[in-house]
Amino acid sequence: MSLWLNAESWNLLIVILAMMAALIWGVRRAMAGHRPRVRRIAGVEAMEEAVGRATELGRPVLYVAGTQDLDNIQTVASLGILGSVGTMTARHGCELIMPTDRSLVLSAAREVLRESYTAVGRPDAYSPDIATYISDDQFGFAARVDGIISRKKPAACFLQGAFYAESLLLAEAGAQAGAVQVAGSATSHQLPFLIAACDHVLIGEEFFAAEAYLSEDPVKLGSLQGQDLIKNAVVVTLIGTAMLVSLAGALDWPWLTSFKDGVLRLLRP
Amino acid sequence: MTTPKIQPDFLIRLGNLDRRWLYLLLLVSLSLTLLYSPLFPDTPSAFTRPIFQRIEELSPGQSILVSLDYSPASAPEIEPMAFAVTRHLLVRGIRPVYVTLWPEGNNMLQEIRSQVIEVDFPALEEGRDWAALGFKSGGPLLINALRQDLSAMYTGDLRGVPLDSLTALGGAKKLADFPLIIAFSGGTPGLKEWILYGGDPTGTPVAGGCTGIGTPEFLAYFPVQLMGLLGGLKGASEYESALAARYPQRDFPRRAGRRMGPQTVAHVIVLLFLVLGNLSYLRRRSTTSGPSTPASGGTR
Amino acid sequence: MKRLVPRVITSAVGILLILTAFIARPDEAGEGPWLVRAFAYIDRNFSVWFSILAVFAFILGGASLLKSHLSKIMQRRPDWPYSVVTLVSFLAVLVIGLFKLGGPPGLQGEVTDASAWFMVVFEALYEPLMSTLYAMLAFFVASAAYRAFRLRSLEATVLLFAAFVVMLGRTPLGTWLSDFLPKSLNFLRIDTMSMWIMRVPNVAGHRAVFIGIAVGVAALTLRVLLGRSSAEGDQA
Repeated sequence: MSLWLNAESWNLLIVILAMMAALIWGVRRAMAGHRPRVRRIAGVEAMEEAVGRATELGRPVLYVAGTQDLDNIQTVASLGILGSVGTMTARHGCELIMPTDRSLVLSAAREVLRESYTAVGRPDAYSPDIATYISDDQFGFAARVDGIISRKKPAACFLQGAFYAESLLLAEAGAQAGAVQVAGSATSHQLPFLIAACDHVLIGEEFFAAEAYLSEDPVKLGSLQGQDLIKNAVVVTLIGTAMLVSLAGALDWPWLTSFKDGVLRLLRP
Repeated sequence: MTTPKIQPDFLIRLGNLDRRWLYLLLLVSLSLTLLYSPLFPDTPSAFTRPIFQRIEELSPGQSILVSLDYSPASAPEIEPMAFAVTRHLLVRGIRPVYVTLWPEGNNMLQEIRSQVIEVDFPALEEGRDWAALGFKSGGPLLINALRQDLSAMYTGDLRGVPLDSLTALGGAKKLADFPLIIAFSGGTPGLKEWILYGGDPTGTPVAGGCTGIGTPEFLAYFPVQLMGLLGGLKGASEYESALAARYPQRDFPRRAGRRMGPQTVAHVIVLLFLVLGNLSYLRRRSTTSGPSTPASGGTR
Repeated sequence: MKRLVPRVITSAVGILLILTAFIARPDEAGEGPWLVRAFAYIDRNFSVWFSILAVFAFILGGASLLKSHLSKIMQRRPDWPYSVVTLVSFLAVLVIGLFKLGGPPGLQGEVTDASAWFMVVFEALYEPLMSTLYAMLAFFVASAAYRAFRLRSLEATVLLFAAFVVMLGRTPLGTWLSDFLPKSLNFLRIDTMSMWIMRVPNVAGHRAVFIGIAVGVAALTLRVLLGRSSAEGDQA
């Protein structure tokens, strides 16, 4: 077997298999009828209210799915949320504007929106011009979106995805236009700017959970439960290993030191 | 008889200050400070010192990989550190091999060539003393390919000289052959990808520089996966100070050190307005019972 | 079929690439069992294939840009003159860069040579435009902070205190303000406190966020590999 397997990454393989098992357990459990109860995420619930407000005011909703390409997992997550937002705007009869900065994201977004509008019986309301391509350039895109915000004055701005320096340019423009803003990103160094300028922010994992929360799909909700199991295991491992290393150092018992070395070898990447 | 209109007091009105006054104050004070920028002394921090020491420990003639992953937008923060580290490498006789994950990186490389190498080290020869492999697309996939074989992605340098003819490479065939990787990162792909895909799997030490806002994120990797970090303009200023203290006879320019004045002014103005805004908020809270009304510069 | 084929390709390629991390490597001479050599070939060359595909994505992006702005001009939609500016700029820089005008002759000539028109456009137009937009962040940060940072709660107060310490600590003023403190009170120095905030609570918080994000990414990746992601147009 060692002829085929990389001897240096066997521990990583065990971890990945364990994670997959946890996720599949969560999904199967949800599909068997034990749907997990997901705690209220204020930002996600604010999306529906924001779309309703936009409809009442007769102003559009702006959705930006981050500024990275389809190979970024945050963009994939954002397109999942876009599907739910598209459903909301189709149902309310509200205008949706979605500028993109990648051609592949544009194509995927159009597919997602067409599906959403069709699913709620409003295929007539869908137009390919809902999603438009602006520019691959980070600040070229930000400048154009700021222009859209200042001219169209959207009542709601959803900034969901991977953002970088342009995050504050977009969020502050929306704040100055008086829009209700819900942001979500796993790009940790942009979160402070989004928190300062937006009304609600989905931080890190909440952003990935939002798609499941909105769709109420048992597969997605089940994977949330699997994720929680993995996180609990990580916390237990962290605390346990820290205590083990501290005890082994303090007590200096040979068997304990050997045990500690074995555990650290297992955890080393 | 009309009821006289009661003006809210000055502190409360301050909370509704039009943001354009703040912009104007920032603009004027930064402009003045940029014109008359004094040089501030600095000392390397615990994040900066390891990079300096590591380069000092390298032997002359060794080749290290330097990645320039930034664009003109973040160049004001990152270029000073890239210049300082390049000067340090070249003054020690170490051979930097430049690559970049960003298309604009080739232009940033041109700036290093024209403003650092040709000015401070005119006797050095490209290909022999330093190499410019340039940009290839792929981001983390490029790093993945380089991890196994440099020639999988690069056939030669930017001039078209074949890899085998570049003595600056020091015989390096893959990432693990370099004793150090330094990545200057203005975003993604950048330092994080070098840590995760380049340094961690190969065991090659990774050091880097980033913008100020990226510093808190990268510190999570320090000191094991990231041996040192130049965080923003402050990090660049610290490195320049260390370089000046170690090689005073070279009298290298200190761009970052001269920009610490404007940075200080900007920070002080923002803090001042934070204080004034909060004084206004507390005053409003003490006089009214309802939530404050948002205005152009007021509370949300 | 329209959804099945991309889904199968995504799943197959994703699983293959994950497996390459766990399959052994050939020896220095490149020898080994056929499976090991096959996976090493995939691992080495996939990055090259992606680079080739990325070129098509660039072309697709350019074509999308041309199409959307051309239709805007022809239909005289609002702001169509700006589309003319966009297209003229796009085509001008494309020609200058593609044919390496002004620089060393020939297709091998370096487009970033100081004499090349491409560098002139880059330095005269692109650099100032990018720097200007990035510089706007300084003003926007100031107005966003002024608007948002209020002492509404204990957490907000702690946050504001940390902001003060770190912002002052990153400047020479922070060092100067603490210079009067004796060595025994070094821990109260603004720069020392700033470093502590960056190294301890900041790193702890960031590592926690990273772990959560990594788990979220793993879960979503598994859904993508199994074809259960909404991004593929499947409203499951």
